[in-house]
Amino acid sequence: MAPHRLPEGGRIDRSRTLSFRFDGRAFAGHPGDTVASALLGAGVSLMGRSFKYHRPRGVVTANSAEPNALLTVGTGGRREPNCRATMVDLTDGLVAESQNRWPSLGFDVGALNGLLSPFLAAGFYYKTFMAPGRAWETLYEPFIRRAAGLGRAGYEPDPDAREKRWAHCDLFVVGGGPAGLAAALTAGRAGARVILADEDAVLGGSLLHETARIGDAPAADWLAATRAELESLPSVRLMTRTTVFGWYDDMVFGAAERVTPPGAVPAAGAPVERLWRIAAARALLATGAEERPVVFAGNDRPGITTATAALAYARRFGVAIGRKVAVFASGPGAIRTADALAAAGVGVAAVIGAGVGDAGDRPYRVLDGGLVQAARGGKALREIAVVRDGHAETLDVDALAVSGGFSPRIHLACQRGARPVWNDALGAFLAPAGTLPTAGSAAGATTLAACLEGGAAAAAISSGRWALRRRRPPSAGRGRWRGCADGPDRLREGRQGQGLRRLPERREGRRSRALGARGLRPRRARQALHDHRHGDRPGQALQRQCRQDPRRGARGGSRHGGHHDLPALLHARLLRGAGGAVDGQGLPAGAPLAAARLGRAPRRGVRGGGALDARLACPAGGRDPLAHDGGPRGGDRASRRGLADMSTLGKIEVMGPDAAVFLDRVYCNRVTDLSVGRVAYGLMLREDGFAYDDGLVCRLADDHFYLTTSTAMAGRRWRTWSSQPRRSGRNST
Amino acid sequence: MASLIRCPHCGVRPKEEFTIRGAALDRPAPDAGEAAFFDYVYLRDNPRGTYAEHWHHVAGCRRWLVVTRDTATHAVTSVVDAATAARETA
Repeated sequence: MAPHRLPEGGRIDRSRTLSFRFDGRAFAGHPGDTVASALLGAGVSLMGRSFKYHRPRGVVTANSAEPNALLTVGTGGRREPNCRATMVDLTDGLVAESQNRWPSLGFDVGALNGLLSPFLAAGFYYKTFMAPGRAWETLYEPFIRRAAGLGRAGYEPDPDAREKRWAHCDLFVVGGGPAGLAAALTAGRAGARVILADEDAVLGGSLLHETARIGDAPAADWLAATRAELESLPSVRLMTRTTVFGWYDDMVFGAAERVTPPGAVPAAGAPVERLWRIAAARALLATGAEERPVVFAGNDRPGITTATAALAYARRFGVAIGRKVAVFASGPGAIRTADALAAAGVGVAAVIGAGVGDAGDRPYRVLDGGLVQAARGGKALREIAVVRDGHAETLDVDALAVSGGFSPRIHLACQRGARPVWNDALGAFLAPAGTLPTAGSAAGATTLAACLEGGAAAAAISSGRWALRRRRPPSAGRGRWRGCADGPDRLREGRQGQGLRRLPERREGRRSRALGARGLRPRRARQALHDHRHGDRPGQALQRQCRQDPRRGARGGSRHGGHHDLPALLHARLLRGAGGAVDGQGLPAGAPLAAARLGRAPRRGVRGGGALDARLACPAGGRDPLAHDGGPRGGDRASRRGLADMSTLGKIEVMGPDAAVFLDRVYCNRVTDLSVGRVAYGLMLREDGFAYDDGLVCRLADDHFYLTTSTAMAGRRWRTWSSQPRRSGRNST
Repeated sequence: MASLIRCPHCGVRPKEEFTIRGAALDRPAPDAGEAAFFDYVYLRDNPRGTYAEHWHHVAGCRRWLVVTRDTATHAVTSVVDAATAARETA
């Protein structure tokens, strides 16, 4: 067994062994381990080097605030630098490397910087690397570039996918410790939609290593029961490995879910990471408190961790941080921690601190009122210098568990600019009023009971309102738009096809202007047609038939319906107009059928050979004009016919009584003078006079135009111009 | 920027559904002269406070809206349909 692995205990599966590599050496761990705990268990305490002086560094925490144990995990395209070893779940075959050292972690040339430290004061680079000037590019810059940074990025393409999703809830609980779990339970039982997010791989927070009892049972039992109940509640969503990183306007939160841990291969179809945007009615910060280290000489030696980390490694991972562990903390908590470590099988050497109490019959020394002055050792802690009552002594230890108090994690509440508020009694900063509510240790609670009660109370404040709340459909405005039956959240939660289209219902009082109000658009709503079904405007019959006949696929909502037929429609128009203008009246009954057949032909637009008023002579009715004289490219030069494929161009229809006047303002040339049946070239300008786009304008009727724009730009042009009618009080759709 | 906008037709929507065109200024009359048009095309105020803009609900009703928001606090004070607003001021 690994030298520092405790014989029993921990939330790890000792029946299975996972193998991994660190800096080329093979190690073993268990499911439930992190890379940090597995390395500690194997007796590895040196895990990294400091930024500037390359001091040897080891793991300090057992959570996400780890500053030292930064590893590069994974190989090839999945290589990820700067991973905190405490947050990387151990998986079989994982490959990890230390960073910022050369040639090796044990023997790092960069440590020479430490000897030069008197000359490398902060900002020393402002006075150095200046002469000779040539040397900057050839010598200084490459050297500095190599020395800078910690991990190295990979250059191979990343084969993995990442996702984005939205989620909605009534209560968003950040932090899955005792306060967060109590809050989620309270709100979930009341029927509210709850999302509980925790950045760890398992929910529980401090309960994962807590020694206290809840009710009659150990804390672990309460945790298991609560987790099971939360999983059974349908309105509660539990998110683990999820870091909530941002609090934005309108109670929208950003969260990053690590679906696949670093170094692991994602399951088929699963993303590596998921970016969540969570819109919450209310939120609660139950993020807990961060333990502070203490300042003394050499306090960064490998082997010095926080007291909570020492406890977590012992109780959650079954790993001792050392063979002879000293605890440096104040108050009765120090002895409690030492007892817990000893009970887990860790060898405790001494407890040092102010007000720690009496040793009693404990097997370790208790130095009440003592102070650690220095920690000595090279790549691992060797001894500590302690002063007590003016009497100095040296203790032979290989690990030190330190606690300088707790700082509530209020970062999210202060992110939007509010300043934290100092609390004298607690000796810590708390979240200011008017930001997010906090509960548990994040609110300054010091006991487990206070955490549980605080979390439940914070959630219960609004639970009465939640019981009555139903998922309302989105407001239907003034009833003009038939909204989708699904709520807005379904739109965001991945079901893209529903509810994105609004089909207008009857538009009262606008029958005569329905088409005018439509103005420009690539697709046509069915209702507008309905309004004009009995209109007598020329060309309407043809348009209507083209659009309503299912054989032509010309439905209002179909993406290609309109486009599909317009070239045909255009062609039919020009067919009429062979030899002259189309008068648009009295269309023969055969025309729609011809249009249909043309529509089914391979879609090729027809454009005359460049001249503005080119005629298009095509066989009348019934025959595919493109199957003529040797196919699409066959043209009869004598009659000056040519074919050009403009099917890729952007296409916009403009309809309405003011269509011509409107287009006069879009183009720099006059369109009102264009006769029906003619095609003109138009240049479109922006409001500042710059050329915007160009294309053809085809006049199909007095009030009906067909434009082309740059390929793929139809939407953008349409959007620009659709804002114009707003000034005249008409909103185009 | 406010994260959620209450479109008068579609209800509460995330801001990603909208495209912002710019300030909701009145276009000068065609004969207003070059100076007026220069101001309209190129010059904009930058107030710390209320600011009215034209937003296009591209992923929803596709109507133009006049959104009035506070540039300092990001609070949205009003969202009205642009056609309605134009008709009321006309």
